[in-house]
Amino acid sequence: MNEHSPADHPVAEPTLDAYRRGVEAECEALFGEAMLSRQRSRVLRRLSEPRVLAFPGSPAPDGPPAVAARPVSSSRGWLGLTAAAALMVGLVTGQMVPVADLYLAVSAPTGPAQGLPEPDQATGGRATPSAPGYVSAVAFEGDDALLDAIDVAVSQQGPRELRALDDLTFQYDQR
Amino acid sequence: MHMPTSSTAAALRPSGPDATPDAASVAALAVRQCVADGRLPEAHEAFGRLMALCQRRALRLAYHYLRDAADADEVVQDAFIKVFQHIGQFDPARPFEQWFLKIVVNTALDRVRSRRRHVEGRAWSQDEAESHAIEAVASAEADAERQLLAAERWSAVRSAVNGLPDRQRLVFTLSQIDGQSPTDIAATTGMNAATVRVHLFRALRRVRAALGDSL
Repeated sequence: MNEHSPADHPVAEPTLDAYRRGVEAECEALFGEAMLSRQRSRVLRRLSEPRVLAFPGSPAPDGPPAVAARPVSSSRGWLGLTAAAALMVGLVTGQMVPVADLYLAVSAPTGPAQGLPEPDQATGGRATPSAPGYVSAVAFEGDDALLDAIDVAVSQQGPRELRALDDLTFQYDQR
Repeated sequence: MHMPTSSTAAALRPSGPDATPDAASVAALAVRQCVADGRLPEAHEAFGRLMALCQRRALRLAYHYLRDAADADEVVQDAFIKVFQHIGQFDPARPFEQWFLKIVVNTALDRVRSRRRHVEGRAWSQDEAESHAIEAVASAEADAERQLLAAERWSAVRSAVNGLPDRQRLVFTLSQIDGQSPTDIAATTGMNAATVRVHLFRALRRVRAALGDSL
């Protein structure tokens, strides 16, 4: 047990002896018989506490099972049933949302509303969302109506202030 | 109460021809046998006796290393729990206390690591117990002046030891407080025996340097 050589002890042995005595006294003061007994009781209590739950239906190979499988209480059963029902309702409602969209689309009046652009063929008949604040300035029934409007505008004289300018501009006569 | 049977005694293989199994090893084997047979109440009873044999030494070691009585208490408790849970791994060819102290040291090292993480900078003071220590050291001296000097020297050594790096403090504690040889310390800590000697030498040199002329 004592393999120390004198070279290993650059500190005087009396100093170390005194130090050991002090440490011993300190430990005696801290760890009295009552504390030791309390510690042993705590360890044994911790060892007696079941810490690992046995899997239901597979008893431990040695000794009685630490904890018996508890029966499921009726309140927990109801709780599970309610959760399952809520899940089913959520799933069914989620499935019904596209169906409701389709129903609304079919029941809506056909054709675009006055002032709205025609449905875009590329988007499968759905109207493309317009930018906020976008308002169609003029609505035309078709290409002919647009051309008529242009003709009217061309044939009319402009405002008085612009007539001098019109006179200077080359007028193309279709006739 | 379960007494060691002949098979239990046969399982103990002392290292030397004249060596007799120590009381702790005999008690540990009794616990192991009870656990193996599934006799848990008897195992607990035998374990209580085993704890009483090793408790004080383990607490002194843990306290001196951790410098905190509550931490030392918890570390020793945890070490005992580990021992009971792994009692099947106890090798009767070696002294039980060597195996047990190794578990105590590892548990204390874990505690030091977790303490650094959680309560950095905590002050470890045990004023009342320290006054007992100073009293014990001073009472060995004849006159008042020498008593004062002895008390001062003890405090100086204590503060020097507390300031040692972890591994040096561990080796110093095992050597100077627990009285283990470098070979035993190597077995307890898992260090090489030569490394143990180096750490011990450096620890003692630091303590000497800290004491200066008060030696």
